[in-house]
Amino acid sequence: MKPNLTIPKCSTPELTDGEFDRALAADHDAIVPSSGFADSVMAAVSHETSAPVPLAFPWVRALPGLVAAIVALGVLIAAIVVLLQSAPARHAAGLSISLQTFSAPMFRQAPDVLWLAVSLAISAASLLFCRRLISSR
Amino acid sequence: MKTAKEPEAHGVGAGSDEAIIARVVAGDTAAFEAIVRRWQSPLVNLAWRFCRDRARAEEMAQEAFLRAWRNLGQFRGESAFSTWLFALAANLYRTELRRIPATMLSLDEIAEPQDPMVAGLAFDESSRDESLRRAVLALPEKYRDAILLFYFHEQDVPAAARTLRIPDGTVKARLFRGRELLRRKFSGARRKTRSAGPAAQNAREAESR
Repeated sequence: MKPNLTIPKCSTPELTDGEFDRALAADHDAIVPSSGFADSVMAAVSHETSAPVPLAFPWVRALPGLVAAIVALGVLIAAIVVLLQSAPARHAAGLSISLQTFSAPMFRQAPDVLWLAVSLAISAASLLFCRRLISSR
Repeated sequence: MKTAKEPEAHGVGAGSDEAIIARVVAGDTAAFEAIVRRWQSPLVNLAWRFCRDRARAEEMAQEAFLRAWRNLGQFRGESAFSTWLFALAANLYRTELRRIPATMLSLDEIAEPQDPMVAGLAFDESSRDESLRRAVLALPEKYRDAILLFYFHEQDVPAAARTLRIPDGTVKARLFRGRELLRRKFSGARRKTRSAGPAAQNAREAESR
């Protein structure tokens, strides 16, 4: 009894363009969308339509705070730069950071008055900003 | 534009794509259903070619429709709606595949017969075709996309080029190179199937008797 063994018949060892075309042709490799697909898409669209519009960020209200933050950051960076430049000469033995050290090169004329004015201005701005936020509700 | 399957004509919202889009943009969300029904088959089939997973194909197609709906206002009518839609969908599918690849196999692992005897017996035409389709997904992205879009558009190079937003010549070059990679791979597999191992030799002798 002959064993029932067969091997595929391959006309050529190379894949021809025709074989490529047949294997990858659209009509040989198509699926049908499931019956509820269109409904599912429309449900997703409806869901997105009914979702509340996300609140826009209140840039106008946030602007004073952002400006204040940027100014404060600038002052801090400037103070650090000045401190680092002046520190070796003034504090050869070690680096000591104090309000006086910060303010001395920058506000040599009247450091206490200037710092006081800045503090008051920041406090006033904060107070006004808070009151504005509360009154708008 | 030729596609894997021509859009179905449905009673819902019958009319040109442009007329339906105008209604949707004007606020008639329900009119979008006509677009979905008309283009669901091509979009699902395009996704299917990219991932070969029915559930994932439908998920990706749904996301493509949602994205189309969100961006419908940006459609200027400079090209056919189908061109715009396929480009949007193909772009989304490619991004999705970069995020989660369709197959974790490399091209070297595709269609390599483990046992030449068994593989030889099973390596019939349909399984070879399926192996070839899966091997396309294992190609480098640029060759894969060119081949997938070329056959999706029924071997229309300009249509594939428009969807991929690349010149026709680039599509042709990538098709050539992609086919060469596949041909090399499958020719190697065939040679192994035909010649390797005593089991395959016995099978050939048995058949010749």
